[in-house]
Amino acid sequence: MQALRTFFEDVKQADVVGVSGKHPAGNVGVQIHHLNPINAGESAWVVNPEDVANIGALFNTGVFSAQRTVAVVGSSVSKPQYYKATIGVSLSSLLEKIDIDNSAPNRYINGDVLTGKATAPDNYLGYYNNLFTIIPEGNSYRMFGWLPFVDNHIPSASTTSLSWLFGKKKAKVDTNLNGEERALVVTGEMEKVFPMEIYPMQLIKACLIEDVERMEALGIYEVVPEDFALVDFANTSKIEAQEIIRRGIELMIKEEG
Amino acid sequence: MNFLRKQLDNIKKPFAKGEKYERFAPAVNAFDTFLFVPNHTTNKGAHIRDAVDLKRTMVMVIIALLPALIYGIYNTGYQYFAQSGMEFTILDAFIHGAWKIVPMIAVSYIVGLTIEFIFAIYRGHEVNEGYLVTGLLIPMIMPVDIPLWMVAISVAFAVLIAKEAFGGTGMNILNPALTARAFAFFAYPTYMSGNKVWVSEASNVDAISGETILGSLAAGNQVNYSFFEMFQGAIPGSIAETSTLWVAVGAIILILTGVGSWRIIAGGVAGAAIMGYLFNLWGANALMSFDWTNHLVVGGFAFGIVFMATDPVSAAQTNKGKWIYGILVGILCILIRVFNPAYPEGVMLAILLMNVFAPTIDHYVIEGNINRRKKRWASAQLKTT
Repeated sequence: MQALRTFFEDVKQADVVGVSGKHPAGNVGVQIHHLNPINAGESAWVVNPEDVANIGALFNTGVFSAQRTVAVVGSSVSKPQYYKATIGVSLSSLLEKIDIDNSAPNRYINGDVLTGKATAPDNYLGYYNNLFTIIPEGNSYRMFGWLPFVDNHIPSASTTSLSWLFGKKKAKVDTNLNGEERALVVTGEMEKVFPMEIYPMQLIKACLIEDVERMEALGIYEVVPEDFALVDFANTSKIEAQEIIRRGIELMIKEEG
Repeated sequence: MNFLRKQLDNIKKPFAKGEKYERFAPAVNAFDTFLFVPNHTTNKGAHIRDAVDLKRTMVMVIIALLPALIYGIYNTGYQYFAQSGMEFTILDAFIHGAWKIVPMIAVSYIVGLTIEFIFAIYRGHEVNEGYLVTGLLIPMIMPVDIPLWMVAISVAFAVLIAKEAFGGTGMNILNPALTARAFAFFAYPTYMSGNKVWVSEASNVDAISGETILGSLAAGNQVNYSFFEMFQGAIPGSIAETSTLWVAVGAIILILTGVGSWRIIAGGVAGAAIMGYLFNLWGANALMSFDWTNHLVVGGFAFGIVFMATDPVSAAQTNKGKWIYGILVGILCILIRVFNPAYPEGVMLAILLMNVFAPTIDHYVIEGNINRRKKRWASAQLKTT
């Protein structure tokens, strides 16, 4: 950490801002919102440190270095670790080195469990991904699993589960929805996982009814779908928040150009 | 478990997509999803999901209601035996209470769920779990001797007019349980108010006086109960509203599990306390001089603020709005109690009135956020030009 700090002190013509905290503190959307929020008609560009290094190497040596450090993680990977790989490498060549628990069907994800894209093991690593996740599919039934304080091994942001008490050791996650989609009833839970001065539920509702003016007023310019990943995870009604926001942003682009 | 699962899958076959009884799938699914959390997996958005769902949330409210309900069943028997001067055991009291109250709960669930199932099939969506709570709340806030057919009609009115007419769960403006009570209150006033309805069999047995404390205060009589008796709840009243103690246990469950909004509850108690205290200072009549601490433990205030005002659908939805909403419910409740002796219990009307104003409160809270954003845009434009 100290080495990193002295490194950044040497960086010229740049404002260096330190950010720390739990997810989603690392999301660029959250950081931009708190540093210099985007107004109508503005744009902000972002670049990852590894890509800065690759661009720098291109100018210094004249050769484009297409190298990525990829972390392979997830409940189905017995020894999660970093691998050196090429951008867009075929997954089969990456996965052959890895010990995967194949006792049940797995889900292969380009990216992390919250925002990644599902893929198949005969596919390729995504361009931007430096994380590859493998977790078991959750296509099984749980009898009376809706009772409060049962199945505490499932991670939960809600205190209707005792997972905060028992889940301190490694959480075993799968892709079960843990319920079904329902009407939006519970209020205030989205705000807890959404650290921006934006009303998430009201913005989602504006996107659902395709009210462009309202979406604009409620701050659609300041968000990207990944900012709603934790809303996806935590909301009681199992609403697909990222998908709704993605469609909302697409609608904005179509309407406003 | 596997055997049961297989049987269920067999039963569900004719209801699958493209099969003969596809339309009725929501009804069968409702039973299936009650037994098993389904095997649905995520197919867009986040790949992992929280363990919480609407069923778990609603069941949490029912757990929070149980202490007040169990005490209410006991108190129904206790009031009856104590007032008629008979010898009785705790068990007698429970049996007498259960004999009256269990049929009310059954009628409420049967009528309400039937309507919910019909609408789910008609609209082609799954049955929402909201009625599990509403169906238990309705009998809990009724006088014990109300005829079952009145319970049934009140339930039907509340589900049809207050809920389904607005689009079903999540869309209603008014709290359905309170709408049921308000309907009964105005449609059958002789069964819902006065001094003969609040104790079991009071209208049949002369020795029993079924007057509530607020009712006798409004009539200008003295209160013969101590603060502790009112807090503990051995007083006449609607079935489960009397015991502030057991309602408070429910409140703690709701707040700790995050299911009920502590902002609304805290705001409501603060609003009622302040209003009650101001009236104490004024003290122009017996109702105004009724101690503010007593206001908090008498009648349905505690039950209303903990279980009715916190209904997330009909309450304010923003955090700031919840404070304002809660405080106003508290203030209005005491205001109605003191100034309108025709309605000695103000909490029902206070919450229903604030239900109507909750969207307005949210509107101004959100408008504040929108205006800050628009101001920022304007100043950004000034800088660039």
